[in-house]
Amino acid sequence: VSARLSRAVLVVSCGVLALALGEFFLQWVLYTETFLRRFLFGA
Amino acid sequence: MGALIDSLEQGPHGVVVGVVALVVIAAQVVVSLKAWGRAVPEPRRRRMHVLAGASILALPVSAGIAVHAARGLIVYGLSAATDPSEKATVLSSGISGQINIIPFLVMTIMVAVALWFVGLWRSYGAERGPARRALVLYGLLAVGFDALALGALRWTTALIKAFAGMAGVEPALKPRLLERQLADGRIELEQLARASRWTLAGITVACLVLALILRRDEDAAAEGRWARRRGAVSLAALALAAVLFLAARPMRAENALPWPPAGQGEVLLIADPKAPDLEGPDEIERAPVVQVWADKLALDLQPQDDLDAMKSILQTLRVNYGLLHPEGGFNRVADLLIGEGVSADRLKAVLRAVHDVEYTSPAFVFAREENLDRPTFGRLRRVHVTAARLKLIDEYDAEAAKDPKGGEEGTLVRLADFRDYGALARRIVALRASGAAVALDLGK
Repeated sequence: VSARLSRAVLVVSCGVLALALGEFFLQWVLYTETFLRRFLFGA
Repeated sequence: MGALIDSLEQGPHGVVVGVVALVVIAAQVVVSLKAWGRAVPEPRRRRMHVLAGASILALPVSAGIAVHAARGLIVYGLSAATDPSEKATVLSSGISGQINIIPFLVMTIMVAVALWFVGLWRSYGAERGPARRALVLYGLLAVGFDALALGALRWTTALIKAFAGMAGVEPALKPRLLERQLADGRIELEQLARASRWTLAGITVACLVLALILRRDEDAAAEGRWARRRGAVSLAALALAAVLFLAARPMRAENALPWPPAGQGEVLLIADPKAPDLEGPDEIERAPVVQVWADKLALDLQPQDDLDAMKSILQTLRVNYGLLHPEGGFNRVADLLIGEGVSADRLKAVLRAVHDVEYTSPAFVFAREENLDRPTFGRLRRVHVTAARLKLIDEYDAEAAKDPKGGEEGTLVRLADFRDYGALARRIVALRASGAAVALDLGK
């Protein structure tokens, strides 16, 4: 049970980390758009 | 390769990112070759792979610093730079830095991770067991990022192409083209990010099912060791996920809030004196800017003692215009930013001075401040500016042309019929909005 449980927890944790990493990267790339929009907005 | 190096050089720290990437990829190649040779004993072999994997972190860190510096340049260029050429240089460097580094990061990180994984698999993937299963999980999760990586690559390369394609385009159209590219690009990037998210979720669920149904295949001592190791990795993964989630929050808030349309045409940074709250149908043209208050006067932001001083400078500017535009005649344009309550008498004196030095095709300019509150940028301010063009004539023009409109087209408006600028401006904007040209008669 302990082996299965630890395997399951590892898989879920790594999956959550992968999703958080993907989300962070997406927002970081989209933040580039925000800076271009800031540029288009003007001073 | 040359184009790649050139593109990296355009942004801040781009060359450093390029060198870091070369070193990291070279390290992965060396470690993979060593792993293939099987000459490295444990625990040196494990240390070698851990160090090689850790070195990959230098890629996002260096690229992150470079992109952060590029974004800092954009903020500096828009808010603090005063010299126009410096402003253009830092903005160009900031924009290039962002959109060139991101695809470079994506490509180099994919190459580095693939090389690292090849070495790891050679060292630990050959035999069945917990190490191989962990490698399969990590490998599958890495594949789950492919759609997102493709999205980031396509998003930035489309943007680079859009900038390159704007080279010959009329300046007034460029903001609209860039806005459209950003809107279209975002849709595709978000679709691919969604595909990536579902792939990662699917891989996680599939691996979870496998993890639950697989029977144990280690002895009790080894199983206990692996369980502790898995527990530590799981905790670290969840903690890192929480940090990433929190770090993404301000960016998510900024990215989710829409922006108003881009500023149009020429930029005027002043909204003083307070003009009538009108939306002129014409765009402002680059020309000398005359600010008129009830009791003072300025030309191109320089206070003027009196009308004669202003006329003298306007004459000089007219001569300069001729030197700069030898192919065409003088355009006769001045941008007049006039306070709403300025009296007709005061207005007549100023307009006559402008007319005397042949600026007979001026524009009444309507400028007002717009404020925008953003989650991370705070309060942003810009001046929204529109104009209404007109022709200035006086009684002598009418006599000379034997025409009440002084030979000009359109509707004749007499300054004498208005008691202040606000009333006159409303009339002229209404006429221009209906498509009529306007000739403003200053009288004697």
